[in-house]
Amino acid sequence: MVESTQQAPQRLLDVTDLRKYFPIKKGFLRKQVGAIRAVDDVSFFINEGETLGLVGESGCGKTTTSRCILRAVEPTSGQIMFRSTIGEEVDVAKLPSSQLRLLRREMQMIFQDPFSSLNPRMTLLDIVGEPLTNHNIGNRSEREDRVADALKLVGLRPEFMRRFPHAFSGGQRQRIGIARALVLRPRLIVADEPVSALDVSVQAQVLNLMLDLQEELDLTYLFVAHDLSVVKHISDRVAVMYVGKMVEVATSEELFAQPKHPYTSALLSSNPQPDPRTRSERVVLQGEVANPADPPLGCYFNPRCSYATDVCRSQPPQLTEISPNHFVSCHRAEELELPGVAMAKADGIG
Amino acid sequence: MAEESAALGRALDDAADRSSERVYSATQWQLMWWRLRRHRLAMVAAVVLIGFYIVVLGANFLAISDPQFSEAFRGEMPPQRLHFFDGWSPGLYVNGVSGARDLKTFKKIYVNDPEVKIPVRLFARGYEYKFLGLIRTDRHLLGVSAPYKSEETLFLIGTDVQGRDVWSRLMLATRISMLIGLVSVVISLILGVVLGGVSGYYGGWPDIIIQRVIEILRSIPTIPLWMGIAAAVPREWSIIKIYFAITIIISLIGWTTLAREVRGRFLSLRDEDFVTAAELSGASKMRIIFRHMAPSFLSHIIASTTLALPAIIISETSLSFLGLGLRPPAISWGVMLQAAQNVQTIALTPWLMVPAVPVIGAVLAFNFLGDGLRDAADPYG
Amino acid sequence: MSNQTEEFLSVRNLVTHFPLDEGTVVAVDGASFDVQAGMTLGIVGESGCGKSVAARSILRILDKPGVIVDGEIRFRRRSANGELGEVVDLTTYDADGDEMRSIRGGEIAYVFQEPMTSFSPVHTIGNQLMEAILLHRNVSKKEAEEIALDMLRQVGIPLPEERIRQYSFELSGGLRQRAMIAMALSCNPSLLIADEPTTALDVTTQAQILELLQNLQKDFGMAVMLITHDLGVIAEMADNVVVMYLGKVVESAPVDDIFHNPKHPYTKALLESIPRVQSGSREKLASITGSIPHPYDRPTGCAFNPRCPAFMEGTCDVGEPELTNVESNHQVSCFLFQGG
Repeated sequence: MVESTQQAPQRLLDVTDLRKYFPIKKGFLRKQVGAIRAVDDVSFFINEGETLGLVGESGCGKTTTSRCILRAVEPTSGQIMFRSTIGEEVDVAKLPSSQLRLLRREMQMIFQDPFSSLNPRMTLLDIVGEPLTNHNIGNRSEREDRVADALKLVGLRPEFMRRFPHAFSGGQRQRIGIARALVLRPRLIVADEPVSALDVSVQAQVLNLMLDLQEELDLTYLFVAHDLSVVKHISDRVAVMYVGKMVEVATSEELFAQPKHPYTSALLSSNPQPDPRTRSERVVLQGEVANPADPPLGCYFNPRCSYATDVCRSQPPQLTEISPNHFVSCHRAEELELPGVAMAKADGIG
Repeated sequence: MAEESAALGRALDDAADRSSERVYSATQWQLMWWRLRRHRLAMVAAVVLIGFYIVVLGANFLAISDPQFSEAFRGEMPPQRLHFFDGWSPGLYVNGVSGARDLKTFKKIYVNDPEVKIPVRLFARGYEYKFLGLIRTDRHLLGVSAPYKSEETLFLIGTDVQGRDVWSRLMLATRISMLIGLVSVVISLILGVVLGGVSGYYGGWPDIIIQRVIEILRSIPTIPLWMGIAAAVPREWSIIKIYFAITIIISLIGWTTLAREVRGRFLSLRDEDFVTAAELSGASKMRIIFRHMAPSFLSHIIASTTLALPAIIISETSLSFLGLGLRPPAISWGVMLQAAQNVQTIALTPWLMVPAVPVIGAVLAFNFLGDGLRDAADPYG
Repeated sequence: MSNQTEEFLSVRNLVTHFPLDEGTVVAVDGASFDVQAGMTLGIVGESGCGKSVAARSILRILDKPGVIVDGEIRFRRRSANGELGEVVDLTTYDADGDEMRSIRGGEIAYVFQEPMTSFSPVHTIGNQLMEAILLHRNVSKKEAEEIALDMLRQVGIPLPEERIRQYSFELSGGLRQRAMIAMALSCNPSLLIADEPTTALDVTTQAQILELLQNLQKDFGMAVMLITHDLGVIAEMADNVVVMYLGKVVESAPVDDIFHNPKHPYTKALLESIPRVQSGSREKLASITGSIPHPYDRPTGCAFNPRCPAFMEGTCDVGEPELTNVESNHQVSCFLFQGG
């Protein structure tokens, strides 16, 4: 993909043709009879200091993609170029494990479930200090100081470090997870649905915290989510996935106001708005999400698409840049006028 | 924003936390202990088991006569009554007993002589032994003083066919039977955790091979297996050697259950987010297994182990009872019960069946305690 | 044609406790709300607000050791000829008795959040549907199967003759939820309680299910009590809304009033803190300070006072406010509106 702006921001992460196929094995001898194409030739990039929101419904491959980037899951093929602190670009997908371990200091993850992402049998000091211990950073008291700093950064009192996770609420646990991710001062944070399991009022706190931390610490986020409203608040750019494929990537404003892919438009329309006066405008998408083990011919979305034509049913579309920094994977992207979400400031609320 | 919520967090926390700090800082062991404490049956069972292990430690101290000392003419003597009061004044004593043989039935008859009062002393002198294997002493909990001799006069549970004091033999049998259980379990534990862990964590071929081995071992019928191995053990081996051989044999089968459980836990833990988080923070595989995953199933292992002990005790008892395990002069519950295999025993010398009581008691106690531990260990908050 | 102002379901001062070893959790602390025949009531709140417990109290399916301690649940039953009959207090019935069992499924139906766990994995969908039908209607097995097939068609499941023989795990999440709705509606209840029916579903599937519920409500003429934490869903579906916090009803109003004229500080704060697609990107949200109190540590006075931007010392931390009318059909439980 070619950059089209003059003052080009540096790309921190550049993913090309990423694939993750899970083999389906049947029979006594476990022969491979097919594959679940969880991530199917996905390409995108993230500029330094920005937030890329990655959205899609279940089975779209966003979680698998996020884990491939950190190599928590081994990709089947593809390139994951990461600009490390020294300035050189490394392909995360091909790094030997010793170097990978070092690189992991620069990229960390925040998990979705605040209850299973913290070891219930370790104190906060142990949990947040784990990355420091593993990379042999500092002695015990230095580590304690750094853990205290990390806890303060996320709004928790350092005295809590002797406590165990069961003493904390979901929102607080999520903060602990964020503290753990930050303690090594990474450059890239992959957040896998970090607020989906939280109450509404707590979601707002954690999202605000993440925005603050991004400014303070110069972080880059890959924010995986299924909730479009959440993604709108935190992302500079948004990427939409469907059944393992990247269907649209654009800036937040453009994607929401002028989506170019019918799926994006349907997704936006399906999102229930917290305003009873907008009821009549919804378009409900019919049909079921395609099976990633047996996707349709041509464009994966064609059975549910109200704009599908013959070419859509036979030829898979490619991700192309139809306007500066706006990428779509649709045969009819240029000609379609799709409804988006108005930017109008809602009135009379609150 | 972070400071603001921290400030309010402080206000809220101060109000609520002071009394809860204990709970918040409680380790999993403390939480487990608090939960276990409420399980009354398990607590009672624990006390009973502590009693058993006190006997294990002080077997010789609690015994009265040398368990191997036999006097045929004192054989099959019924239990003596221990009197606590002499008339109105306190004093421990037993009556003297004289024996004769009924000339018609050739049965031994023992007659209590109420006139003869043999005082029973605490911490009396008796036969010599090494307390805890270190301190040479001859003191016992109960005994008689000169001119009487314990071996000739004090038989709280009577004597067996060869005239040996059943009580003393029972004390030593308890030691051996309870210890075999422990040693066996430790071996099973190590084998089970290591092999189960490898199987669960690495998966693939190691898993397939280990699981098939487990299945083969479990499909072998146990009693014929024991009989076979017992027959193969050379008869010239010393008691100790046979003891260890039996122990190892039992644990070689026993590890399979634990291995399966450990494997199951590893498989489920492998996919937990906190394990992924540990990997991403740079932890080595070893560290993940021992520091992150092991504590999660440690509590279950303790519960499983406690529940495995009764099976081992019964195995040993059954083997010895059948004559395939320990043999005289070794003493265990099974060996003692070997003498109680016939109708004559039930009819004429029922006190020889007393060793069945501690077997049942120990098995029940381990089961109740194990149940309590399992309930306390699961689930973790 | 039911008179909408006639009583249909009235919950008055419901108090439900869970006596646990560590202390008693007051899950519902004097909640009062109404459901009108043929209309949708949305109950919204965050975790610990007691909305699910309230719903389960109505149907008397509380998990042990839950117990209704006080209050009334007045429900208008259906008389023999199908018309609305007399009003009974459900708290007076035995939870396991014949009366409640006839009401459950027959007059009040319940749809759960997690369709996977609400179906038995060892019985076919058809089996379970037919069981529900046979329990409440006097029909033969053949007729029950016909009704089941018809229901599956009505909820939009394609090829119902095949699906009826399938097990729940063979269906996708959306289809399972539709089957669950079919089961709930098979006996023509007058009230459907849906507890977070779409929370576990994808947003496009959610839109389908919500549309289905709206259509079915019109077709069957039933009342719906929709419980959710999602304000967007409430805005889409509800006619009237009840906002709950820590076991109490803090505000109750028609849906437009709740969103465009909220009175209670919690409602206002909640509306301001939800992310919206119309906002600018990277716009910070107005969050509610603090967190939901632990059920064992309820604040004294008004439950919301530690987090309330309109906190009045000496009032809000001392007494508990009552639910009072501020406008027609609009009730608030807040000291800002008491005595006026």
